Amino acid sequence: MHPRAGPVTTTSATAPATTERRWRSLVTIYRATGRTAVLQAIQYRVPLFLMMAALLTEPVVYLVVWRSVARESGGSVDGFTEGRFAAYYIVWTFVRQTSQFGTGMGWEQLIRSGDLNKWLLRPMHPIHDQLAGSPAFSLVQIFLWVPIGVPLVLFFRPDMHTTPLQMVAFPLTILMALVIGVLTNAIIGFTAFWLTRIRAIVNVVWTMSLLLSGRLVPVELLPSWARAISSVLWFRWIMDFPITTLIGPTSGRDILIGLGMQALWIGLATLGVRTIWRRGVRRFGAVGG
Amino acid sequence: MPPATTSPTITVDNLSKQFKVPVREEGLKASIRSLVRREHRAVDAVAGVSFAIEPGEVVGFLGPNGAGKTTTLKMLSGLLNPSGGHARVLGFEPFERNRDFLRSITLVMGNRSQLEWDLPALDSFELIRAIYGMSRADAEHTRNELIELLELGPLLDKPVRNLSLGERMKMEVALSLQHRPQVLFLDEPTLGLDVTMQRRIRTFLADHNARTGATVLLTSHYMADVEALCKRVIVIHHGQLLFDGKLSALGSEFAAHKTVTIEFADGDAVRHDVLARIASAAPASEVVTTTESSISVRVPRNDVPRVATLALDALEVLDLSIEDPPIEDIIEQVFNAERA
Repeated sequence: MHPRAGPVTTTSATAPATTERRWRSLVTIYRATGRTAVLQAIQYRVPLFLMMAALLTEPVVYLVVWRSVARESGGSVDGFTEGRFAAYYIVWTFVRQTSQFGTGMGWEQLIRSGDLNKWLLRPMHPIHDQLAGSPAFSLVQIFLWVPIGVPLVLFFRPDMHTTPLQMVAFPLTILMALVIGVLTNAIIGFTAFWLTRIRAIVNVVWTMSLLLSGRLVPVELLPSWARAISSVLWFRWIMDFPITTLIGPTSGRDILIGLGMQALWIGLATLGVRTIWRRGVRRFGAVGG
Repeated sequence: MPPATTSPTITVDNLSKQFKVPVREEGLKASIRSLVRREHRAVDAVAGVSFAIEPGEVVGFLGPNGAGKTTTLKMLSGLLNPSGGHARVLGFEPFERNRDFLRSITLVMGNRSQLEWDLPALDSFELIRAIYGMSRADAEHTRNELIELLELGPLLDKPVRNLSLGERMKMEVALSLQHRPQVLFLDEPTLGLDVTMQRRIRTFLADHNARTGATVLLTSHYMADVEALCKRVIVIHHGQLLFDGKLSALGSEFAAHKTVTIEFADGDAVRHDVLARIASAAPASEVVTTTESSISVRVPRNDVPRVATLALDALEVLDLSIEDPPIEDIIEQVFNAERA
């Protein structure tokens, strides 16, 4: 019971939460929310598959352009061969589809329309819905990726240097990238508590991400100053790092540093989410209804 | 049974909420000016409201659109941070949004949904069960009870988007009660429903309150909801409390007129004479209806005894009734008087 609670006997079906109970209930919530996310994704599987196919245009364009550049430059660009570009952009499609969801606009919509009310009434922070739902959605995406990824592999013949350690680390890097994405999107989205419309901020961050995350150009090929910015901010760790972890060559030390940076960004973003949420929700107008 | 408690379930003390609303004049010039200098106006949505609600009470919260009803409910359910004053619900400060507090309340808004739109309602029940940390057996027991009472069985496996408005509202009510909240904030729970569905939800809510002893604060524009469920009403207007008391006392507080209906045996000849006498005894009275053997007159409250006595003296009265106007009319009078 809350320390400021009065002398009221509870008769509701849910008992006050202890720390252990809270963790157990969080696991139950994650399982149920994950299940709901999967059910929702499956509900619209055809549009989902078509959307995924459409999204392939972007990496295939990058891949074709970079392969041409490599060919024109005598077979490679700063060590990136045609086969390595193929590996990079094929794994790109997987990382993109399994760890990069949303932009913060979803939060804007919830805050602006007052639909956030629904989440505020529930005895859990709404970020848990995203943290639980996104990995579950990822699992569905993996199944949908296979029929698209396999022909790409057969056609473009990627050159990969993958060790068992990299195979083990790769899913972890994806999961951590996903969490960073959810948290940073939430921070951007929460600015709607003050600004109401956040499209401009989302566009700026999206452009930065396009240039610095390894989405447009592998981070290795960026000028040194851009590489430095990409490494200090979270961008590199949500796209380029998972990709290079799988395609290699990379060392155990580099993987550890990368995972450490991901953990650091999860910590910082969690702090940001907590602080901005607490301040933002005080300003919330709960419009509608 | 109502929870054993020594204090009111809901205490509201001088509660207020002020919104800062951007304002600008119409036209391009004003629009450009507002880019540089934005002007705001403070709007008092709730301005110092105080009341207390005891455990198990069902209270109607009335007021015209924009009176501050929903804003108050949102403050009491922890959605809105009050600008001033205090509120306690079940001993909790709502805006702290303590998890135990949120597990003990529910807010049903006629046009907002906790249901997952694309999935069958059963999936929403399962999600809510997990979120509220209920055991499967407990949740199933409550859910089955609600499903039976609201006759929801055949609808459970349909995607929510395929349900009619009434079916969705019933489902929403059931979902909101699955965790067995002690306090129900109901904001227009019968909004947009047909008469049959309204009646069914009203009956269900009355029954639920009787069985569980839950405390209910209800807003509705349908006075039938209020009359069927609430012995007590709180009326607010412009964010301020106008009345807090028994529904039956609302008439004596605010109704300026009563309707006097007289049935008599004397026939048409006497009727004109009686009407003339009433007009002279109570000039502000208005004839509502007349037949050969009855008169129905709207009489100012203070003139009612005089008119009744006059009728009894002058006529061979078969029946005489004195009624407050319908509750809708009283509420309308309250709001109109306030506006004037």
